[in-house]
Amino acid sequence: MRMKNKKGGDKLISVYWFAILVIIAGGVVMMVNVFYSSPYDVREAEAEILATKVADCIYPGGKMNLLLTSPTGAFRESFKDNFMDLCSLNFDVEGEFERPDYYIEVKFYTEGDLDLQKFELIEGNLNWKEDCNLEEDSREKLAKCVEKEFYAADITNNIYLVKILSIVGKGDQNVK
Amino acid sequence: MLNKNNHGQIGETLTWLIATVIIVAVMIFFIFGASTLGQTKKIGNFKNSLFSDVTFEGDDIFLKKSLFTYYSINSDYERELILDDLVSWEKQGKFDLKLNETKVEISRRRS
Repeated sequence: MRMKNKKGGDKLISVYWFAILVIIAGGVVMMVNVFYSSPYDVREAEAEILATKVADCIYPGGKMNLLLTSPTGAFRESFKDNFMDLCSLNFDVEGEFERPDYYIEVKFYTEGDLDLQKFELIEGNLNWKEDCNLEEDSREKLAKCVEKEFYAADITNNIYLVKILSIVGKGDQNVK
Repeated sequence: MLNKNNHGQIGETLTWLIATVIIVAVMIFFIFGASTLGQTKKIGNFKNSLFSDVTFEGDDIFLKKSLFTYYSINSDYERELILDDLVSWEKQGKFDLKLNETKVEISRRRS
């Protein structure tokens, strides 16, 4: 009778250990899943790359793009019209009613006078710009904004302060 | 005698029960931790201790473009204005490179 009881107890403990094993294995699987299913947020890096690409387009090798300014130093409107093609940018999205996840804004100011804007290039979804000014506690879902500035001189030695605002939305793809 | 055996069994079951509760609690804690760490996955969020000045291969094209402009203009007054702004931007931490070192590098490249 004692032997039988002991055997029953051993079996019960084996079932218990098996249950514990399943719980621990399930927990490890859940931990790995939770950690690796969260996407990497690359929006800031993407916005910086976009700003860099645009800066290289308008001021390649430390000289103003010849298609941007005329020999007299005036900005060409044709550059504004073909900005995307001339800088090899493509903000097209797959869906018919989808809006671009990007916004780019380049402003040229006369050196030393930030009120005197000489020229601007704007492309993309303007709605994202609102996100840059919002003071939300949880900014994760909001678009990422990157502002860069540099000095540029044209062929006639006019000096401009170039401000680039680059914004990447893509909240759904980068934040869980 | 039967009573004593009962006490032993209850004590043993209680031990296993508490052990199970502890295991599950630790498990939940780690799952919560993994979830929290998962939320912080960002490209570029590295600790300062991971960077080394010796092996740094970063770049700052905006600083370099400004310095190219700085060296390309002839007016000393305008150069001063640009340099003042660059020094101020460096103080605000806007550059990934050191201004003076990059200035010397660009100067050498142009000469």
